[in-house]
Amino acid sequence: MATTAEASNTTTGNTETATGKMIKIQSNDGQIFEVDQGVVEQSSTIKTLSDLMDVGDVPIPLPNVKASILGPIVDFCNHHKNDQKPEPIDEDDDDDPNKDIYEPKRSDDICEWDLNFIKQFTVPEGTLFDIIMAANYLGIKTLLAVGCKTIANMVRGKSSTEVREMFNISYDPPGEGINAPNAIEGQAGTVPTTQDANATGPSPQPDPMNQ
Amino acid sequence: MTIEEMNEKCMEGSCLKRIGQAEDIANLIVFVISDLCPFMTGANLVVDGARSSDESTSYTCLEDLSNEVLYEILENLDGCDIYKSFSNLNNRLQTLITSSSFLLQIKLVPESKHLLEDHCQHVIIPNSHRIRSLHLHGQSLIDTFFNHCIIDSSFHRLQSIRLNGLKVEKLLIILFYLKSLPRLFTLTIFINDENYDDLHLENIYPLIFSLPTLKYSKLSTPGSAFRMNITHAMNKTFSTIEYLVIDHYCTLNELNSILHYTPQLRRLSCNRVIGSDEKFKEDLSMKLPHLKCIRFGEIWAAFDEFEVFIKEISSQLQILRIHICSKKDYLNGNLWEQLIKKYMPQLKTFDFHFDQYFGDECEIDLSDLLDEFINRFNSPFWIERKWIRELQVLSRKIFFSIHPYREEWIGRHEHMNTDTYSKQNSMEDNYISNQEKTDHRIMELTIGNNEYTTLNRRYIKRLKSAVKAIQFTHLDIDNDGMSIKMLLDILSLLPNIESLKLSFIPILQLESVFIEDTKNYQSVLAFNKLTKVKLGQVTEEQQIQFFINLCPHIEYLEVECMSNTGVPSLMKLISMNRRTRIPNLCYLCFIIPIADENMVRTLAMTIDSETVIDNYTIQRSGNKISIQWTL
Repeated sequence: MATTAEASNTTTGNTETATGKMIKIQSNDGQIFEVDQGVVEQSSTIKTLSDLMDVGDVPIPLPNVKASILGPIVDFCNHHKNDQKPEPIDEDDDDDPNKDIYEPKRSDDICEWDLNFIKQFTVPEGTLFDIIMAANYLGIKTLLAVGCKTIANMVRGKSSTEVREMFNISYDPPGEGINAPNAIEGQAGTVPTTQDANATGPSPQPDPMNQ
Repeated sequence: MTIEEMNEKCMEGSCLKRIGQAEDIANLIVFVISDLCPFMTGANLVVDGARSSDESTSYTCLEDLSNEVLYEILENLDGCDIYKSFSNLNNRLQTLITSSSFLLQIKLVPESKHLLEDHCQHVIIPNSHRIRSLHLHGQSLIDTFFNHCIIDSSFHRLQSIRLNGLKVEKLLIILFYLKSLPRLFTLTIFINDENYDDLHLENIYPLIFSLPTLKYSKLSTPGSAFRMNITHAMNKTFSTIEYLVIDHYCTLNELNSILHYTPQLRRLSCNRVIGSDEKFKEDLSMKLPHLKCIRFGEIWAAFDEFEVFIKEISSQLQILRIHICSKKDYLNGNLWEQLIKKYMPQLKTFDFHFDQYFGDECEIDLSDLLDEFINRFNSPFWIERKWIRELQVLSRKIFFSIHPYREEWIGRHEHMNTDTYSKQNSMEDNYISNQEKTDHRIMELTIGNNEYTTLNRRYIKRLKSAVKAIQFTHLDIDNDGMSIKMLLDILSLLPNIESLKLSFIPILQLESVFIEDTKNYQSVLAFNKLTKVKLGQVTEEQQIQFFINLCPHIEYLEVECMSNTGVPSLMKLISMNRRTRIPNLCYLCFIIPIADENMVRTLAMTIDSETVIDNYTIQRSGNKISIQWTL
């Protein structure tokens, strides 16, 4: 007997599958996961690295991801490895001529499995952002989208005060950033965001748009 | 969560492994206000049992995400929502949301009406240069919006506009302004005007066609038919439209006039084509060299007029979908064959749908009608193209359709082969080629679940007259009101059925204990050729056992379980029966709520312990687990 279906630790029996080789990946805290080609295909980073290194049995190091995040990611990719690939966007073969090709993105289309999957990651523990950052680093588009949509759904309809509280968003130092005197002039009627004169939050990142 | 649990949770992150007590804070206060501390006037002191210095508590937060990822999140939000939620938080986020390269999507629904003025003044007008899409829903909202805001050339990145529920006079004014937009690609309009007699679509279309960059347009309006005369586009500018959706009544003449404006058209969808007193004017001046896909939602025009019309525009056509309501002159297979051969040399997909409605009272003899359906469209021309005929008989309606062959019956997945053993592949191939050989005689009977279906005596009678005329090979029942007795009744009339799909397991009534003794059961058991069975919403083993007993030739079995718990015992049941009752079974498929690797392992263990099946392959795909083996 042999089961070919699953990855990581179910490689008992006959391993001579049609998909061929399993690849090892290593989290930054040293744990090694074994994944098949179906998983590798979903991560542009792992795919590129494995093509590049032609590793054989040496695990591919993933220095930006810890095991507690990489494990669930491997589960996610195993679950989705046989998903129907989105139809190639060939306008002439598209079945639905009613489709508005400039339709804005929807965020209410997360499937049930993914909803349950993402529930295990939270904002207070920071794991929701860990998984998003890892998905981004590993180039797993579907997981990145699920994470971003989850955050968008949490934010929708909330005021900025609520958002600040929900995500513990930092204040600009007094007299700087949006609290700078000229910035306040520019935003008539808005209140400076520093909580009080003594609060000293971490400084905001350098202005990304002027880099 | 109890207090104890909460305390435990709090202690998890703390080095000292205890909860702070009141004394811990009080003693500090005593110290600070005492004479021992005279020079201290103010400071932030941390009293947390070393919790904040613990490395494991440096949690990632939203602001650790890169700008690229933050934009990915913002892409999912409406522009007004973004301003509401992220304004004035801090410099980085403010710069992010006000960046001129970040385009906003605006969608306003009636609920946002009381905030509309605010949205216009603070979000939409100041950001007009970076709005990508504008979707407005509701007549009074649209009216108020345009009182506050004029769409002019300052909206120079606006690509998509959707206006849902507005009046014609308003639309005419709006369209006039839209001309100044340099990047408007899609326009979707739903007119909701009580005064349907006065809808002057002949004024609207030329305005839409004069928009300089439009690629997609959809115009919808409910209500009855109206007259529309568009003068042919002599000396007029042509539209850039590539996809046109006409979601209102029009005649072939009117459609013809519209198409004179759209030489770039690639796809046309026309939802309601009505007949007209005027004869169709043949006009060969129209050229649509890019038109590859046409869909007619409902067509009521006469076939000979339709034929003249379609000939003119079909030279490049690859996809034709057409729905005909009760016009029997369309049911001529020979004429269609000639038309397609001669005028649609590129046609790849032909999706033909005919429906005939009849009231409850009239007792039409179906055999005549069925004869017209079935004994046409059956020449080698149709078989070669794998365009399959399908018939659905409902209580008051009959559907007849021709569509490209769908592979759904095998239920195999396109990635299936990639994970299979080489030994198994050959078997797999045999399975497919057998399927292809039999294609040409596939006739599918569907018993649906909708307003037209009531499972009563009259319905069964009508069904009987249908099944006498046709040798059905597939039966698809999507109706939760079906009883076992009724199913056997139907199956006994269909001796050629090879595959059966039940979206709901028929109700097993009390008397079904004795059902195996009934005449119908015995005859179905003796004569059925069922090799493929799909069962939906299975809850009990007994239900599976019934079908195992009934179908001794079964090769392919698919079971959709309502819960995960019973799956291993179902597997056990099936593998036990494999030895005795269903020796040909070689492909088994479970659709379960949670299909994961644990379930795969559990199933593998169950199979191994039964030792009936060896050399098998388990494959999981989404919520589906399939098991194949060689016989």
